[in-house]
Amino acid sequence: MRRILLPLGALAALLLVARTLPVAGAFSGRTETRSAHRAALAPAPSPPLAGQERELAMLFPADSVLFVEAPGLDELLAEGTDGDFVSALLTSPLGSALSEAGISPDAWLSWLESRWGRDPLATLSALTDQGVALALRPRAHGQPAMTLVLRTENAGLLSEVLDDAFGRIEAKYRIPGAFDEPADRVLGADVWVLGDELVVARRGGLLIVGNDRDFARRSLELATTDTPDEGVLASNEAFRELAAKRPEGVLAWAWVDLPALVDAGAKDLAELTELAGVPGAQALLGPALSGIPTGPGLALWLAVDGRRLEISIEGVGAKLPEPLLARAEDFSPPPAIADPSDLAYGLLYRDYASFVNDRAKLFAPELLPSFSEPLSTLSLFFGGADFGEDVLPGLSPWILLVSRDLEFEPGVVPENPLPGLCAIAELEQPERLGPEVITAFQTLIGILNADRAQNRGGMMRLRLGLEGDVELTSASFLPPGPEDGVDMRYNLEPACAMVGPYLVLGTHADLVRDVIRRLDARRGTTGHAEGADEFLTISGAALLRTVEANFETLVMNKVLDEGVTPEEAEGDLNGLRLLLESVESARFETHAGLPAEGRPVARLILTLAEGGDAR
Amino acid sequence: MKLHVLRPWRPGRGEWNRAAVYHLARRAGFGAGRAELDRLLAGGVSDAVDRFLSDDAPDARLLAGAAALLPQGEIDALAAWWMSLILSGKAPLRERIALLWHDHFATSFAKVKDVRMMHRQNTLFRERGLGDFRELLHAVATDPAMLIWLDGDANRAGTPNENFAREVMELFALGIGNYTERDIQESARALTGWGTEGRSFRYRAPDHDGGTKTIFGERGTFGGEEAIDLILAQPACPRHIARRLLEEFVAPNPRKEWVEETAELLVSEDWSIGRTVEVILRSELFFSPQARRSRIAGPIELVATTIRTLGARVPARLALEAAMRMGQIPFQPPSVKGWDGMKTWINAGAWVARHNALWRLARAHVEDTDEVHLDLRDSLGSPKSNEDATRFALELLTPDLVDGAFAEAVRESVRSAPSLDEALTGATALVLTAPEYHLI
Repeated sequence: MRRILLPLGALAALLLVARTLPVAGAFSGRTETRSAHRAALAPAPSPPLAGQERELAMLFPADSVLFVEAPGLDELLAEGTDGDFVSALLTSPLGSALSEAGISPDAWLSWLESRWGRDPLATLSALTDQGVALALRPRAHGQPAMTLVLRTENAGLLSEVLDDAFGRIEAKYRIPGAFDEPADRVLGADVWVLGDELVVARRGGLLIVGNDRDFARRSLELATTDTPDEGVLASNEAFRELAAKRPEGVLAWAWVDLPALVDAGAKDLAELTELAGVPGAQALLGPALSGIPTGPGLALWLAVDGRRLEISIEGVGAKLPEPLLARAEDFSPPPAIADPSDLAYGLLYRDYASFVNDRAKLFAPELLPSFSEPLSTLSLFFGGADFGEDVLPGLSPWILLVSRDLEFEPGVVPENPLPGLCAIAELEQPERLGPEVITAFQTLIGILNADRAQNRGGMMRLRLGLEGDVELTSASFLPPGPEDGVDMRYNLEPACAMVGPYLVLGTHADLVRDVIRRLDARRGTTGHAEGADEFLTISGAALLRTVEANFETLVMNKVLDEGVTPEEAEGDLNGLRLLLESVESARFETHAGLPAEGRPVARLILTLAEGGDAR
Repeated sequence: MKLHVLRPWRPGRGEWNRAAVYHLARRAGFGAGRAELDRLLAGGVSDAVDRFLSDDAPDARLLAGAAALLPQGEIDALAAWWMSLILSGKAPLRERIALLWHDHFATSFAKVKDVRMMHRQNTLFRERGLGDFRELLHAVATDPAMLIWLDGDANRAGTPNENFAREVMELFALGIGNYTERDIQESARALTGWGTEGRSFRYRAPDHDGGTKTIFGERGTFGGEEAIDLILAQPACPRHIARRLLEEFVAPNPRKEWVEETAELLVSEDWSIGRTVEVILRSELFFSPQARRSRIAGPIELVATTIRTLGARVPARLALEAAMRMGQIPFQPPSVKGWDGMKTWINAGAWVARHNALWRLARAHVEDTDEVHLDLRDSLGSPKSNEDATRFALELLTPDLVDGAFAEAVRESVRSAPSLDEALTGATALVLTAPEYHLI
């Protein structure tokens, strides 16, 4: 919801700046400042105002580095608390809890209405019916320059609301009449200056609010220029490309000029842009996610649809690592084995064969030596075969992930019951590579046992079993020895099996058995293998069960990590409980697309749980 | 028993002042904030000491929370948990005593390698640290962590392992010069068969040497319990423990007459550590100039007292990390002798760590951090000027040094600070990083 409120939040921030400024001083005794304002906003003839059809992006200068527009805001506000998403949120356990805590949106809106004398949502909806947008530009010192542009067909309403706001400021700061007349009239707009920085300009149904006079004035100029083709944000090529493909029906969207922000000193962002070239980050995040910040622009989309909230981030002109995407079509699509009881179910696209074998093309030379040790170590598990050349190319670039709670017999429940995790991949030559992988698994257990024996630790026992006609290799810990700080018996029982061409590797034998059964009974495919599609779906209810089972551990870790009391930690985690109860699922997906397009996308989709009518 | 050295303190006019209550709070507990110091001051010395004796219940929720952390098997989590108990301010004397016994019966996770055993030993020190020392020593002797640490498992008839027997005499109960090698060897034989099974004490009769032993001149077929009783019966034992208590609560290198009287008191109080400590805390000796600022604060007590005195909110893991950088890693003392303390706390590396940690803590007042919250305006008492900032910081952190050259140096340093907040931060940082502050 934060993105929905961004334009409003920005307006509130601007008004907050005004509230904290010496308003009376700005007008009553500082004539030279007023003169300066007049010089900055020099009188001029009043050219006609551009029509409402002009895109809002045409009203911001090209050196804006962040642009946020909320085309669906008026509709969302008009629906108020009856809108599908808001209604679902309010009837969710989270909404009900807030209501019970006296933080009911209805009560808050009623209070606001009684103070303001207007229906707040309807008024804000009417004020934004022709769009609202915000842009930022870095400044050499202090906060960035910020301008908010709002357009409405209800010029009279805008005038009334503005008068009302000024009246309240006059009353609060005891400066009656200070805003009766505008400080200036520029390009046909009435201009008020609040404090040292805040500028408010209104002309008809157009309102411009900014904390930088030059930046705000440019918007006013662009709104009154006949042909603002040059020097406007919309002339930026990356911006134009993204704006042209803007999905229909989005609530809000934002564009970020990443290189400009980095140039302006955003060091954290600079690190993000280099992630794709870091082997560890590339291996973990994959080509799509690590590729998003590598281009000249970023777009963020926010949409609500029924009980769904979607947040997307898309790169434009991104540099995608072609070698990592080449084998997407070489393997058959992964099987569909999701189950409603899963805590998480996902599909990763990680072409580790190309990652290793094309490393010289993908990474800087100084990073290449870091590959040697892990590769030679892994080769040992495969009887000396070259892990990069002989093993990885036989592994599909897609990896299915399944995670779910485990069922334990009474009396053998682990102290911290954690969900199990299973990974499934396809082998190109299962009859050759399958036995090698199983042997490697057994070798790994043997080496771990030798290491633990040296440290007087408990050993793992290897077992061979059958699930149907599939041979299952598993390893389980013996009861902990005196050197074992942690009883791992029930939290780790690694197992692996080959089911036809599929390699199944999991943290628990029970889960691997379950997956074997699912593979036997599979129907169709999971997703598809276009490009490098990835997704991970997490069930709110299942995650809640894990949180519940480990609640006290989470409380104590929060106490130690954050310095809060156990009661405060419990309060925070109760909030997490409510959130998980309120979310049916969270799905994170990425799509790398074709390297030539350079448009990788990541998307988070939250689906609220169906709730009762708790309001 | 008639007390001389430890006679009760009857403060003269003005002697029960902020400096006295500050000394009590730092020594009997881990410091106290301004408001609590004011309350203690207002109640008089007797009530103030009572507060430390009667506030005896650790935070129950935190205490029980260890059970949720132990399955992780991380000793740092256990150490942070202990730090959170210390920072909670509940049962301050009990936590201080637990820290004292952890140093005295120094046992390291580095060898024990079992978080649950270390937790069990820590609980022993907390629950019985103020009780009968004889019972404590017997309990330590059968504590599984101690048995692993000092090779109890390897102490078998025919091949006795002398580690525990040697340390119980040299470090835990008697001190060098109060036993012979023969006493060690024979006691080790008496202790054969004491070992562990899983995480519990286990007596293995077949491994016990049932032969006749001669310990401190006594002959018999002694077992472990009897050997420990013989050690406790040595006159050196109460003196050794008295010396340890005086080093902690009064001053390093306590005088012979202090030790003698405290040892006599300990025995007359039926070996009750709690009652002996109570007499020390109420004594003239405890509040004497010889006791004040007489030793260098250890990292844990320095970190904890500073955080508590300033009323800062610091995550226990972060506080622990600071203490570890200064050279004190709970549950991992450097040797069976524990931490050497005193000047070793301020070697070059440790002093830099102290300086940096305390400076950063003071800066938290003006610098946004996600983890540390410090409001010096509140903790120092709403100062209005840079001059106030210096005075208030000195009154809270070094109340016995409000006047004089040190105070003037701090005052001069922050006089021209650009804002009150900078003045508060500057004054606090300067006091915290001054050598005087590190004397406890």
